[in-house]
Amino acid sequence: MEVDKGKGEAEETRKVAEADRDTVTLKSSDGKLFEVSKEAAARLSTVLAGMIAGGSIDDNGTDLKQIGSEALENVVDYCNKHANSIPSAALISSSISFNTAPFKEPEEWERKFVDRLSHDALFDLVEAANFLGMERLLDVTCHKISEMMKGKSPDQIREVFNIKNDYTKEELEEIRQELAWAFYDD
Amino acid sequence: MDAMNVITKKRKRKGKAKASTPEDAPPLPKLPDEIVVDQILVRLPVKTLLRFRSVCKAWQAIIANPVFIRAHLRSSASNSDQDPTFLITPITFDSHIRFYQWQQGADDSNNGGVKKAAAARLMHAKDLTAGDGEVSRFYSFSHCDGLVLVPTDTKFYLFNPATRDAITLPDSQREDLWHRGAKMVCHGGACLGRDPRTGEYKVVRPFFRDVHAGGGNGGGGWRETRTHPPYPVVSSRWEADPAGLHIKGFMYWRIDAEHHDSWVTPRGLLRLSLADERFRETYLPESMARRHPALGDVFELAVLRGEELCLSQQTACSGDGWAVAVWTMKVDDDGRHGQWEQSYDIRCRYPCDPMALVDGGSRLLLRRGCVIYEHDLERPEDDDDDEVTTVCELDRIRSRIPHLQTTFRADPNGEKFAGDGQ
Repeated sequence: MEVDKGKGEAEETRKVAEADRDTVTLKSSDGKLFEVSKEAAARLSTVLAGMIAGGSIDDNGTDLKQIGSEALENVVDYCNKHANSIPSAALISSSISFNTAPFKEPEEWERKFVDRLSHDALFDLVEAANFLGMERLLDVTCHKISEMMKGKSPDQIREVFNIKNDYTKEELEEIRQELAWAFYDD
Repeated sequence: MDAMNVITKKRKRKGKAKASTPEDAPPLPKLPDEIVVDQILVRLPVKTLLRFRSVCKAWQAIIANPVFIRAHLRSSASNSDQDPTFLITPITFDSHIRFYQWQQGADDSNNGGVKKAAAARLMHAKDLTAGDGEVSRFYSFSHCDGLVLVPTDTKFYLFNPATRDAITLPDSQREDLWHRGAKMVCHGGACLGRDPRTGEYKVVRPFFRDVHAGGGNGGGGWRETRTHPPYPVVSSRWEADPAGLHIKGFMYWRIDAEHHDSWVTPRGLLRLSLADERFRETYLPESMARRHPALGDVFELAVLRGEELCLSQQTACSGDGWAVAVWTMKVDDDGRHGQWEQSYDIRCRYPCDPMALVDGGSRLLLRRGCVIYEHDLERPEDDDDDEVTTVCELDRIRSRIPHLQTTFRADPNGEKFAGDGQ
């Protein structure tokens, strides 16, 4: 009993110490470590908020095996930038999912943030945001992708999304004829 | 942790270029379908989506799926709160109908603060002469979810300008009825709405007395509603008479007290619930009668954000200008109606009427003929006698007729017609 109690206390102390730190350390699939503001992480990611509240954050780097270092760097970068910008009140209060809350247009810095990413990095970031439950980041990245898709031809879309064309030539021609007007520029 | 389950397999990249740019990036493996559908496709405009039907069969199926169509509609409705898109149809004297899309701010950037007449984009044009005989009159349009009901003197048409689909509604048995010795032209006053329980779109034409209410499902055929309207409604005769309005499964018309000989006719609105097809009255706000008794029921109606009935009344001020009083009544998702609230009191140089509430309810768009104004609801009160600013004049669309038949919020959507059984 006494031993148990002591252990409990030690754990308690460790947790307090952890709670005192204002950053958390995250570890990518390839073992790189990143520090991120605890407040921003908890505010922007439902998954990280759950881990912080549940005490499952590892001081030596919380393993995020599903996220590569490049994507995690972008996630951390986004969190830090977000913490430094002065987000509008509406942005904080609205947790966004596509069919309930209205989507707030990306702010200037968010636009710049996603604009500098390659396709590859952008798609990776979408997955990371989805995995970490970062609705705002998911929104901003998916918004960027949808913006890029406007004005693209079906051929270009197949290439970007790596989709195989499973139509026959005749079927394609039929759709093209039926919707000829939709094949002009947006 | 739902998010954990979403990603099932880890992607492996092969031969990733070091300094990859959007142009030379190698083809990417697929993103999870949930993200592509729920987060990306749902944001695309209708025209783009129609084109992407030819990407692959899976996308074709997704884009045609009613669940996706609803989600897309909700998404575009919530986006349009910030970037509202309006559908504009100029009055024509021939049988051509044209739908233009207008978006505020689409063209007034970098113009040194000078607001140009907004450019509206042609979405869809159609000549209605083919087959059905000459159309010489268009009555006021009714709309729901981006679908537009176009009553003419010969036929009823239902348009989806975003997809360029159109159907002709079947003729009704009521066309040639006579009322007090005069042939009733009852093509106005029709209303398009969506029954939220079944998801069906319905067109209702109000008739009174010898003529009964006709309800019909777009393309399905006409039938009588379960109950009949207790009063006649304004709007069945003249082209400019207003159409019925629709909010969340309810339709509203003004009761025509003038042409009804009973002294019990209430002053107010007639409301039809699509759920039980019963008619009820919605009385006018009490404060409206007090405000200017002589004006009586001279008022305009509009729907704000698809959830509020909006009633406005203009009075001339003692000095220059006008005062526009605006009352609103909320309808919640369960169909419960709130009370009338006097929401705004706006002074302006010319009389105008509310058209849409945008930007999270912080700006009210008003319109007078073809001029659109905005009123900043967050601006502190001052003694200015003009609280509205001109957004644009839409007369460029068709200089021959600098006037709009109807303007309304129409969120582009991928809605295909329900019950297209023609």
